[in-house]
Amino acid sequence: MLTTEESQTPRRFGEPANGARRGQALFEVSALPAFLFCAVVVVLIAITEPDTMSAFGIELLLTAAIPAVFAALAQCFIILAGDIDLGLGSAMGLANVVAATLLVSHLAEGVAALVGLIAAYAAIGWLVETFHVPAVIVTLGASFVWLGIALIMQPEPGGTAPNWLSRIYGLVLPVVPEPVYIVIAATGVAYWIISRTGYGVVMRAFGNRPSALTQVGRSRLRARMGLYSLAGICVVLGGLAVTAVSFGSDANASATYTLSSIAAAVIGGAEFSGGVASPTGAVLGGLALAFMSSLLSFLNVSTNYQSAVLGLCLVAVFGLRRVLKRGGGDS
Amino acid sequence: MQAPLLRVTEMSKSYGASPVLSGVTLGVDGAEIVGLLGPNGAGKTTLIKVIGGALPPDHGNMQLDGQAIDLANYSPRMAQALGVSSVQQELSLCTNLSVAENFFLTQPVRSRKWRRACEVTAKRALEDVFPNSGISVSAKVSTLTLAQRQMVEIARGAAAPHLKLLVLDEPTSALSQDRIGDLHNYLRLVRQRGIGIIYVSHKLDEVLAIVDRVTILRGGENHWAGQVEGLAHDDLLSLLGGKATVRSNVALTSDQVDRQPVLKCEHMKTPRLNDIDLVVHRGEIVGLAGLAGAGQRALLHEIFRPSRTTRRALSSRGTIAYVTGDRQAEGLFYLWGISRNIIVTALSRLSPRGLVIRSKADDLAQRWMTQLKLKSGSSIASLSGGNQQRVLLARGLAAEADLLLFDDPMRGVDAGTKSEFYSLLDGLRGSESSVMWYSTEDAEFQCCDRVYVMRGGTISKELIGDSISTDNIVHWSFPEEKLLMEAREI
Repeated sequence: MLTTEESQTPRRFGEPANGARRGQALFEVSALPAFLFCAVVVVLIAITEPDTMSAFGIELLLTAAIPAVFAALAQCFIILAGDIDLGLGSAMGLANVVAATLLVSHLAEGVAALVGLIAAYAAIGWLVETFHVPAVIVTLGASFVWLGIALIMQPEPGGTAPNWLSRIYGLVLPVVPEPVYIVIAATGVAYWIISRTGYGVVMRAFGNRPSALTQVGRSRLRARMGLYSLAGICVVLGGLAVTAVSFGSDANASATYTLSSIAAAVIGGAEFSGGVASPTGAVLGGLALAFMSSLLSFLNVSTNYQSAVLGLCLVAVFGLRRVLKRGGGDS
Repeated sequence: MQAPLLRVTEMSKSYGASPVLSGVTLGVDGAEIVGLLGPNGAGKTTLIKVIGGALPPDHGNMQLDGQAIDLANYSPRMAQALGVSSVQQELSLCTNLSVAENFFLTQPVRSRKWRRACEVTAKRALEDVFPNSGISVSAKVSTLTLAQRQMVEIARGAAAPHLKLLVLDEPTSALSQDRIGDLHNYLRLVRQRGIGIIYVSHKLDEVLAIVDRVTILRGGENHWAGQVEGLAHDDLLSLLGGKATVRSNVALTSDQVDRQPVLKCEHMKTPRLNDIDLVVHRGEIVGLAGLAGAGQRALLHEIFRPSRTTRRALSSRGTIAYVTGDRQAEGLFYLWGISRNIIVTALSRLSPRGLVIRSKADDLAQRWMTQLKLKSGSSIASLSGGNQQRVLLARGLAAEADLLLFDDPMRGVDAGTKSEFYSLLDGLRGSESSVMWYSTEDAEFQCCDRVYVMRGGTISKELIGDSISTDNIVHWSFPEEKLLMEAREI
């Protein structure tokens, strides 16, 4: 007896059909919960504060969310390697302090310091790969180093954003507000690197099965350092964004990005086992979380309750992800 | 005389104090298929890893095309450049990548249109080896079945550029019979092109069908080498040191079996299964036969962990234990020792007051370890595949469940472990425990009292006692269309 499915396809007996799903698409099913979450929050914002749906309102909302977008992308790269960065917020805080102090007074030294931070991320990748130290431990340790350096450089909040940075973030662009372009460009570039370049395939392969790289004669160290460097670049861009958005710096202010970026990446479909993380999903997750804070403020939810409400939303999104995954699974 | 394609001499490798290879010699000519056989732990996989550059040997020489290879600087990358392509036993595909992207890893394309180029390469390679496989090259590997993954893996290895030597380690462990036929046809074609092939397999019938010469390793040393012509299945088996694997049929008559059913399944329907009716009685050994992927594993999973919809179709008495053949993915706790791995299913029995009674646990572990000839002390990861499988088997037996589900437990296991497994099964026959056993080797079902043959998610035939034969199983496994075609040909 043949089932209808079998009689339609030319495949051989005993081999179940499989859908022609693309390798890694720009928008995967795994990013759906993040998209829905984001859409629901935006709709709720539009209902509670209709004024925010003006160009200026969107600009304000999105500008405040840009640091979260970069943080989510940075964490996305680290999770892709199968690791977690617990020092991300502090590192962004350090970049923020450097941008608001050194970069203003001594441009060359400031740039060197930021490049040094990216190199430090690559070095963490080297440390994790070479000495098999769990990344959580290294990055947790590094977080204190970042915070320490930032506090030495600037014990009290202060500083100013470099003029050129403020100008970049103050550009008036056609059709939609500037932050929209920034978010789309950041997502697009990250997606392109991960999914469209040849080395992106190698880096994803590394996250999925490091031993596969050895088998095909490629360097695991290079792949991990590559992913960590990309994360470092996003951290620096995030730090610059914080500076531009807040017109100054505070070593401690970015600390919350550590956990929110992990949440954003996971809402966006990332798996802690490595190899699976979608930049699009992570960005949508990051935006959703940032908008959520705005929404809760609009609704006059006391800051004391905001974390709890946010937490409940996260549980709901994870639940939705679980259900979707089971529906899309093959066995 | 022309130099052989590959010449390995005096190859030695030790892990710690235990030698895995000691002075092994292997030669492969162009246009030749050499079978590399040996019980598990004989050193086949180690030898293949050395040849593929994945493992540096302690000492030894290797020549490719008459050129000596500097083994100190030999790497997988160099092996590829020299035209040596290995298909590993443990699948090495990245599950988060598409089929084409996996091809890219071994055969990088340096052009802007690399995606398209890889898809074309992958499609052609799959079509060459396994015509009409129906595998989409843009599908993620995680959406493919085990058999499909193995096909991709083989196609990828065979499509390596400037291929000179193709090394296949247990290439057919998950493949159905007609796919194995495809592979063998392809290998014969490749052989004509002057390419040398090393074929490692435990399936002796396959070896006899495809290889020109065999080299048999035992205990890390060369044991026998020679032409395959004139050799029969049993000759190979005795060279390997296995006893006769297939036991005579000793099915119980109906009144000998205690007719109390342990498991009853009526009209079970799932997306993969269609109207399954079956029964397992106490003390019975029931086989689940059929082509790979016909629903046997899905059925075992449903019996072990029924979903809400299938629960109604099942009625079972007593406890059920599961022994998997996929020891890497769903079997062992690699950070635990052997004894803890064994007793984990029996913990509730061992801890009547919530705390595990140490002495009882040790006794239980010890009992099964002696029975299955496992040495204590070593870590799971250091055991060979066959011994890891014994640990899983011991765990299933230690659970002392009323029904044991075997999910192809002898997949890729050596002849020695197999014959011990068969005698263990004999011990279970007529005891308190029943067994439901899915295997991909049809000859194994001779040990069963009854066999259900599955086909496309349904049970196509129930075979009892003397009617259990490979011929019958094959007959009922294949789709009727094919049988009709064969009948017409006759």
